[in-house]
Parts: sequence; C-alpha cells; structure tokens
Amino acid sequence: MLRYILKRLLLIIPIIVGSIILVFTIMYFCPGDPATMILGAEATEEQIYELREKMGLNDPYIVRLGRTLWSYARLDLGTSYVTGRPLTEELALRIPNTLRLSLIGIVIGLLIGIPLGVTSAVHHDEPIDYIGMLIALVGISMPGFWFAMLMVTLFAVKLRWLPPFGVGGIRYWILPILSSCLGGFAGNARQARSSMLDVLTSDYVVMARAKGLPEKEVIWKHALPNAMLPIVMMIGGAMAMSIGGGMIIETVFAIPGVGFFLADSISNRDYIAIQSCVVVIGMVFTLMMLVTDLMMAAIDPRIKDQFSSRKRKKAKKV
Amino acid sequence: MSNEKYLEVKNLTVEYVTSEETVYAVNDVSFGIEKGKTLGLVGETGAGKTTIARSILRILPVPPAVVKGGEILLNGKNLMELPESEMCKVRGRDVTMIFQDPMTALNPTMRVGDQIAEVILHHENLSKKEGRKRAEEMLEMVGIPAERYEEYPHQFSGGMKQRVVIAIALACNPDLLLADEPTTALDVTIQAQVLEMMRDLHARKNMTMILITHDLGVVAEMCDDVAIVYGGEIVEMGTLRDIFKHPSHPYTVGLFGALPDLESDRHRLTPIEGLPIDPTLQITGCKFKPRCPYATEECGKAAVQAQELTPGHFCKCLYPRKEVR
Repeated sequence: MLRYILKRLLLIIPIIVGSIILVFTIMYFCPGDPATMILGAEATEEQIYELREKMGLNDPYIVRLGRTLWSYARLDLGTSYVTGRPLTEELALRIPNTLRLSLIGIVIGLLIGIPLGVTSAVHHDEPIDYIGMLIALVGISMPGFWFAMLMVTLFAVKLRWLPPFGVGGIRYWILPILSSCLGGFAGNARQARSSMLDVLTSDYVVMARAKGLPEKEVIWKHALPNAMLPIVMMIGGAMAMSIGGGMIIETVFAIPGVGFFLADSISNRDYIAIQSCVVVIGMVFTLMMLVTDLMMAAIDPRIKDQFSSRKRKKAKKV
Repeated sequence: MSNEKYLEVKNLTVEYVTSEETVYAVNDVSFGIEKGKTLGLVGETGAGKTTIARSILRILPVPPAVVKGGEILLNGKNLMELPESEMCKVRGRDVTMIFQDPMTALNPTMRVGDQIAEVILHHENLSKKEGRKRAEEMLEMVGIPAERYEEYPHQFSGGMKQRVVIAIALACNPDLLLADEPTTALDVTIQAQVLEMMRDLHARKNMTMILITHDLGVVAEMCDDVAIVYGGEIVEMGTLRDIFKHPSHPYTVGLFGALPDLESDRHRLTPIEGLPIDPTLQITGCKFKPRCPYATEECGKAAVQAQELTPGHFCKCLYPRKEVR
C-alpha cells in the first residue's frame, strides 16, 4: 500500500511538468506583452525593448520554457508582473483560505447529503423521498454564486446578522461555506439515493435481512459501504471542482484565495500569476484524486487488492 | 396427513404489484413438513418457488410484493402476525436460508469470517472473541481453512462462496433451512460436493429442510416429500415415492418425460409443449390447460381442487394419470 502511494506521488511529477508546459505554451501564444503592461502605454520602444531583454522575453521559446521549469523545480513560481511580489509567497498566503473553504464545504455537503440520500432511498416513493429529492433538485439547479448573493442580501444586508464579505472570525466564513456546500450536498444526496436504491435490492442486503439483523444495521452496515463507492468517486471530482470553482464564491465574498487571485490576475493580464495559479490548482487536483483513490481502497477490498503488489496477490490465490 | 407438522403454510397468496401490471406469483399454496424431513419444491423458473421461501422468512421486497393472505405456522406460531422485532429473532436463528447465487449473496466489502460471526453474535449472547471462534469452526465445518477468516469474498471461488453461505445459514443451528437452488450456480462436480455436505449436515443436526430446485436428480437424492409447483400453485404433492413412481399430474408426467434416461435408447427427449404461463394473467381453472394433452372443456371452467389419490398424495387435476414409472 505504501509503495502504491509513493508510486502515485512520483507520478504527480510528470503530470505537473506536463501542465506547466501546456500552460506556458498557451501563454506564449497569447497576444499581449507583459513589458508594455508593466511600463504603461506611454513607454518608448526602447524602454520596452530593454525591459523585455531584462525579463528574458526576447529569448526563444525553448529557452524560456527551460527557465520556467527550472525555477518551478526550485519552488520559485516567479514574480508577479503587477505587484512585483514573489508568487510563491502570494499563493502560500492564499492556498489555506481556499482549502478551508472547499474542504469544510465538502465535509458539510457529505454530512447532510448522504443521510438525505439514504433516507430518500429507504423511503423510496414515499413523501419523505419526494421532499428530499425536491430539496436536492433545488440545490443542484441553483447556481452557487446566485445563492451566495441571495444569502448576502438576506443575512448581511437585510438582517445584518453576518458580514457580507471579507475574512475574519468564524462569522465571516458561514455564508461562503454555505454557498460552497450547496451544489455538493445536492449532488451527494442524489448520488447517495440512486446508488443506495441499487444496493438495497442486491442479494447480500436480502441476505443480511435473512440473518435477522434489524433494518438499521442492514442499511448502515451492509448497504451503505457498498453504496459509498460511486459517492466517493464523485467527491474527488467535487473537491477538484470546488477548488477551481471556488473562484466565483471567493470573488463574491472577497475571500483572498487562489480562485480570487486567479480572477484578479486574469483581469490584470498578469500572465505569470495565471500560470502559477493553474499549476498549483493542477497539483492540488492530482493530490485530491490520489486521496479519492485511497478512500476507495479503504472501502472496497477488491480495489485495495489491485493496489497491493502482484506478488502478494498471486500468493493469496494459491 | 398427520397433525404434527413443524411448518405449515396455509393458503399463501403473494402478488407483485407495480403500476403497469400485477404478477400473480403464488396462488393459494398450502403445504406442510414434519420435523426432520426434507421437502423438495420443484418447478420451472418463475413458478414462484423462491417467492414461497422468501414469504416464510418475510424478506420479500415490499413494494412491489404484497402478501394477499395466508398463514405460515412455525411450530404452531403464525409468522405472518409476528411483529418485526420478533421476526428478527426468528430469521437467522430458527429459520435460515441458502441463497441461489453465491456470487452476489456475500457482502463484497466485509470479511468472510465476519459475515458468519455477525449472525452468531446477533442471536447468541457471546463475546466477540467467542463469536469469532464459532465462525472459524463453521468455516472448518464446510471445509474451508479457518485461516481464511480474514479474506474477502472476491478471494473465494464460487463453490467456496456457496460453502460460506451455507455456513452462515447453519451458524445458529436452525430448525428449518430453506435452500433456494443451492447448487444451480455451481458446476457439476462442486454441486456433488455441496449436496454431499448438505446431506451430511442435515443428518447430523436433525433439521427440517425445504429444498428448492428444478433438478429432479437432486430431489431424488435429498428429499422425503416433493411438491411440484406450476404457475404459483402446487399441482402435485406427495412422498418421494408417490411422485417418482406414480406421477399423476400431466405436468409432473411431462417433467419426467423431459429427463434423459440412461437405460433406454431414445435419442430425443419429450419436451412439454408450449411455454410457462404468463403470471400476469388471471386464469380460471387449470393453469396447465393450454399445454396439457389431456385437457377438456371442463378443465377451464372452475378452479381445480386438489384430490387425495392415496393417503398423502395430492393432485390438482381432474384426470390424474395412473401410469407407473
């Protein structure tokens, strides 16, 4: 198992390198010149040429790519064209905010979504099921940012219970987290319901009943672990989504996270900052996928077996 | 028939109701078994055998299943009227079931041994350690080394999974075992092993058993009494000898006609013409009439009542055959 994790971690390196090359190339072909942007419209040709030379922008593609990769290898993400501050520092400040927002949102989404979905599945075609699925449908249909704005209008502007934006104590996090868990909880509820419905008619669940186990134990001990697989698979995607997609919520609530920074950089045409954000998000994404795979292995012994080395597997079959 | 039946099913009727159609799965079925005996329920796929077994345990999928009526008396106690909490004590301890498909009957995310220990711990007041010990004993009993307790179902072959299912069914020394086609999903050599094991265990534990199958060979080896099921009804019922020597219902006769016989030179078997009836239709009279070579007008007029040909040998036919095989 440990070997598998190490192998997966090593595999992240080529993925990161690939994403750097991809983003770098796209940026290379993008119109717009950082030197002109830094110096402003009044700068002379000469000044611009000088700065370009200094920044290494006149070098050929392959040299610049090599330089970029080398600096990333030293964990140096470069310097923002706009603020002039090192990007490694900027992002290190922002990543915790983004992670906090998305991870708490996902956990809450799971804690509400799964019981809701399971309840709906157990009471299939009864009023409880309809109510549960109506709530989930509303949740999944409502865009997160719109829900966020509605909440700001109600709780921050009308009732003045909570601050409308910014960061600070727990009070500042309530609205953003609520908005970020909305889509997740609704998706989880729907997924939990449909995979539970599948599992509930399977033979081993009937068998668990035939053993005389009370219905509660049948559902939580036998049915749910098996129904969890597709849910976990979805969580991986949801985690990645909420880190990248946290952009909108971070912008609405002015939370200094990676998404907000990315949006800012895009509007400032701060190419090198955009590049760093994309690479960092890519890195977090691959890590999340690894975490998802490990969670699946923890639930399903069949998947775990695939992870452990071939030798052991063969020895067991004999 | 004598009065000391251990299990008695009276007028059991089960339907599967969906918004599109109603399937009449079990229609007014009555039978009984004496303690320690084995009853074979024989019939085609879809005849309602599994539904009968699952109704006894009350593990039918509700909805769509609806038990329209009937009594199931276990030792004189009507299981149909027991509250769910009491029923949970019956299931897995007094009455257990072996499932048809061992491939799907075990929980893939749970260790094999724990699945056996679970039923023991649930019904008996034992510590976890004792439960584990009993589960290991059960594994050994069905011929699986106890060291494999920690393994998961996907590491077992089909025959071994069926052994585990049997171990679960026998873990609490049940009085009544419902074996739902225990060998159908297994290949022939494993079938023989599993049957041998079941017969051995049956003899040792003095269990009552209902064996559901469509294999008359298995019935001949295992059963004391036989009930032939067609279209959710028991069309003929009697001792093994009654059924095998004096098959009286045309359907039973047809079943035997479709069996290969090693001693004769016939190259072709005699099939029963036609297809099993559509269980969504409500038919008055004999359900076998469309396929029966001896049917008359009279057969379709009213429900055919069972008649007792010889003591204990019942047949639901107006014109029972009288050949001797």
